[in-house]
Amino acid sequence: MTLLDIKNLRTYFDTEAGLVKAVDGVDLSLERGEIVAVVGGSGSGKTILALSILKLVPEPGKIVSGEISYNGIDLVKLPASELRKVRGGKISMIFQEPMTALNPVFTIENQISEAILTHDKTFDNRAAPGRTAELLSMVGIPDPVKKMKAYPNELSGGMRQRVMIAMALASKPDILIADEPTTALDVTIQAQILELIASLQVKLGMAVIFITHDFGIVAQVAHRVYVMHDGRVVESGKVGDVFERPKDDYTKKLLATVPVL
Amino acid sequence: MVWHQLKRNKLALTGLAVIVLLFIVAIFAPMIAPYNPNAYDLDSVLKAPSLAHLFGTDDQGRDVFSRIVFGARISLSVGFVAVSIYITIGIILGAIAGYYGGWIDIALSRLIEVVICFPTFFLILAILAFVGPSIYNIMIVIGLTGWTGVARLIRGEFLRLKSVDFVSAAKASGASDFRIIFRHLLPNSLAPVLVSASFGVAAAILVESSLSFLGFGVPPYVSSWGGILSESREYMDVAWWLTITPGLAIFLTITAYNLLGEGLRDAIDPRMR
Amino acid sequence: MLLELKNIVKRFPVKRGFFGGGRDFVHALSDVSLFIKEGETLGLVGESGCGKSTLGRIAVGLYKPDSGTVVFGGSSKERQIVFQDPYSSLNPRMCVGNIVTEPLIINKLIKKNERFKKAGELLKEAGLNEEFAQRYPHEFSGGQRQRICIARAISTRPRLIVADEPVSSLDVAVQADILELLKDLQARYKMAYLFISHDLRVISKLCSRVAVMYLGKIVELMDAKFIKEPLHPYTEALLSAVPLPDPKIKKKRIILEGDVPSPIDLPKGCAFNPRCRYKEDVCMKDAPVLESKADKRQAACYFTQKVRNIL
Repeated sequence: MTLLDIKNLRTYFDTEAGLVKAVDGVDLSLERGEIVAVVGGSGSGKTILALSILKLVPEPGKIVSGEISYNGIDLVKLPASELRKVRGGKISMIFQEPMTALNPVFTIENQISEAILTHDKTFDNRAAPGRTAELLSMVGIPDPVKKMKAYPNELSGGMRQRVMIAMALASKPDILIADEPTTALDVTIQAQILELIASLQVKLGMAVIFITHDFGIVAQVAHRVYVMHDGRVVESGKVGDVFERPKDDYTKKLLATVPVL
Repeated sequence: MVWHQLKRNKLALTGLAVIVLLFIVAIFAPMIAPYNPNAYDLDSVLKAPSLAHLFGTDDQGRDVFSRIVFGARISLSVGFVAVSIYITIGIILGAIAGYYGGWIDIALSRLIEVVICFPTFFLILAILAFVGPSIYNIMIVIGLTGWTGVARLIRGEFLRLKSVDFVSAAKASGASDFRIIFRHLLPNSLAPVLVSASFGVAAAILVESSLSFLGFGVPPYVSSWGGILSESREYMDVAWWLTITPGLAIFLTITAYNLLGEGLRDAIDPRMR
Repeated sequence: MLLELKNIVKRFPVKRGFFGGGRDFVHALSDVSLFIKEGETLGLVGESGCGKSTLGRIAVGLYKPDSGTVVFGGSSKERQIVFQDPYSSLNPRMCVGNIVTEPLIINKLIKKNERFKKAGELLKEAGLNEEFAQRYPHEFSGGQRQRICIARAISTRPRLIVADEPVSSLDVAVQADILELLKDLQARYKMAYLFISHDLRVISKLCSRVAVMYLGKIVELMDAKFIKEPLHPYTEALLSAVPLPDPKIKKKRIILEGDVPSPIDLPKGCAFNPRCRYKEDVCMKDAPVLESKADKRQAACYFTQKVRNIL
C-alpha cells in the first residue's frame, strides 16, 4: 500500500482580499523509502501543501476538500486527539528557520527528551538522556553529551538544523517532511545537511518529502519530483525524466532559469 | 493603511466620535450654551435639572450645562497645547540622542532618567504654587515635564532605523544628516508618537482637572470641569447634578482618548494585521 | 584603476558583559587588497562571516576602514549600492518616483520640477511601468522592488555599483530576470560592478574576475574562466557544495567538516586550516599570503598543487 496518498487536496485561505486558493487540487503519492521533492517558486503552494498534511495550516486557511491517506487512514477526517499522535510521531516535520522551531529557554536535551518521551514509549525518564545523546550523534553533532546541555542560541545555524532533525527522528517516523531546511544556511553547511538527510534516509528507511525552490537540490537528492505553480502540480515524475524531457511549459521555464556554472 | 485597520475597531471609532463631538461643542460653545456660563442668578440657586436648565444650576445660579460646555474648551485646549509642547521637545531631544549616539545620547538618556524620577504631579503643583495658577502656566508646565516618554520612543525608533538599508542607501548617495533625519527617519518614527499623544491628551486633561479640583488649577471664574467638581463637594447631598455632570464629562473624554489611543496602537502594530 | 583598496583592516567591537571589561572584536577584514578597473565586473564570493558585505560597504564609502587606504577615482555620486533585502531598502513613506530620483536631488543634478519625468525614465530602464512612480513600495513584489533599487542606483550614472547579494532574497524565477537586467545595464553604461554573493553560480554568470573570501581574507583571485579549476582548498569545497541541476552527475562531494567559524576567534596560521583536508604543520603556524600561482590566478595557500579539479 502506498505510504502517503494525497488526492485532490484543496486548502483555501479566506482573506479580506478574497479567496486565496493556496493548494488547488493536488495529487501526490509517497512510497516507503523514497525521497520526493516538491519544487516551485514562492506562492506556488508548496509550503502550504506540507503544512496541510499535518493540518498545521495557519488561520484563515482551511483544508476545504480532498483526502490525505496515510497507511489507509484519512488524516483530513482524523480528530485532533488522534492527529496529535501522528504529528511528530509517525510523520515528522522540519522547518526552514531552526531558531523559531527551537524554544530558546530550554536546553537541547530538554527539548529532544520531550520529543522522545512523547512519542517513543520504549524510553522512560532515565533512559531518555542516553537516547538523546544517541540521536545527537546520529545527526553528526560532536561531543553530544556535552552539547546537549547547551541552549539553542549557543549553537550555529547548521547545528540547530541538526538538532531539529534529531528531534524529528526521535519518534522513528515513517515520513519526514522537510520544508526548505537548507535555504537559510551557507552553501557548505547546506551540503553537510543534505548529505546527512540522504544518509539518514537510507539508514532508517524513511520516506522524505523535500520542499525546495532549488532545482539543484532536487537533482542531487530526490528520486521523484512534483513541480508546483499557483497551487497546482504542473508536472511530476522521476527526476531524471522531468529534467531531461520536461513536458510542461512552466517546468521548462523554471529549468531554464536555474543558473549553472 | 492604519486608517483601514482602525476602522474595524468599533470602540476606537466610538472614542473618535466622542472626541469629534467634543471639538464641535468646544468650538461652537457660545452657540450651543443657552446661557452665559458666568451669569449668576441668585433666584435660581441649586435648582435640579429641568427643561430650562438641562444640568440644573449651581450655588450661584449659573447654568451648569453652559459651564460644562465652556469647560470643554479648557480641557481640550490644555490637552492639545500641553501635548504639542512636549511632543516637540520629545522629538527634538529623542532624535538628537538617537541619531548622534555617543556621549550626546548618554547625556540625554541620563537627563531623561532624572526627569522621569520626578513625581510629575507634585512637580507641577510646586511650580504652579510658584508662578501662580493660570491656564497658560498649566499648559506650559505639563508640556515641560511630559516629554520624556516621547523622547524615549523617538530615540528607540531612530536607533532601530539608523542602520536600515534605505537609510544606508541615502547615505551612500551623499545625503546630509538633516535630510536623513527629516526625510527618512522622522516620517517612519511618528506612528508610536501618535499613540502616545492620544494617551497624553487624556492624561493632561486629567492633570488639569485634578489641579482645578484641588484649587490649584484655573481661577474659579473660569469654568473648568475639575473646578466645577471641586465646588460641588459642599453640595453633594443636595445637588447631585453638580457632581455627576462634570465627573461624567471628564470620564467620557478621557475614556474616549484612551480608546482612540489603544485603537491606534493596535492598528499600527504589524502583528495585528 | 577605478577603485583601489589597499591593506584594509576592519574590526567591530563586541561588548562583553555589563561592565565591558575585555573587549572582543569581530575581525571582519584582515588585510584585504583589491582593485577594480573601469567597466570591469568583479565578483566577491564567500559564506557568512567572510567579510564580503563589509568590504562592499567600505568600497562604496559607507564604512571607513580601521587601517588601509581606499582610493576611488570619482565623486561620491559615481558609486552606488544595491542591497540584498528589497523590503528594507525602500523608505515606506516615500513614493517610488521620489525614491529613484533622490540621489539626483541630493547631488543637485536635477531640479524639483524635472523629477517626475526623470523618475519615469529611470523606471522604464529598470523594466518597470513609468506610472509606478506615483505608487508606494508596499504595493510591489520583491522582484519589482529590487528593480526600483536598481533604478535608484543607476540614476546618477555611477561608474561603480556595489551589488550586495542583490538576488539572494528573490524567487528563483525572478533572480534570472534581475541578473539579465544587471547584465544589460552594465553593457549599456559600461559601469563597473562589485558583485557580492554567496552563490558561485550567480557570480559566474555576470563577472569577469572572481575573488573568494574566507574569514576576512581573500583566499583566491582569478579570472572567471578558471572558476571550475580552483587552486585553493576552500574554493574547491565551495564549488563542490553547489548542487548541480543535473541528476546524472551525482558527484562525490567534498563535505567540509565543522561549522563556518566565527570571525571573533580567528584560528592561528591559515584561517582555513581547521577545516582543510590538505593541511600540514606549516598551515597552523604561518598564514599564507595571496600570491600569483599562474597567469591571472592568485591563491593564498601552500599546497595548491594538492587541489584536484572535481568538475
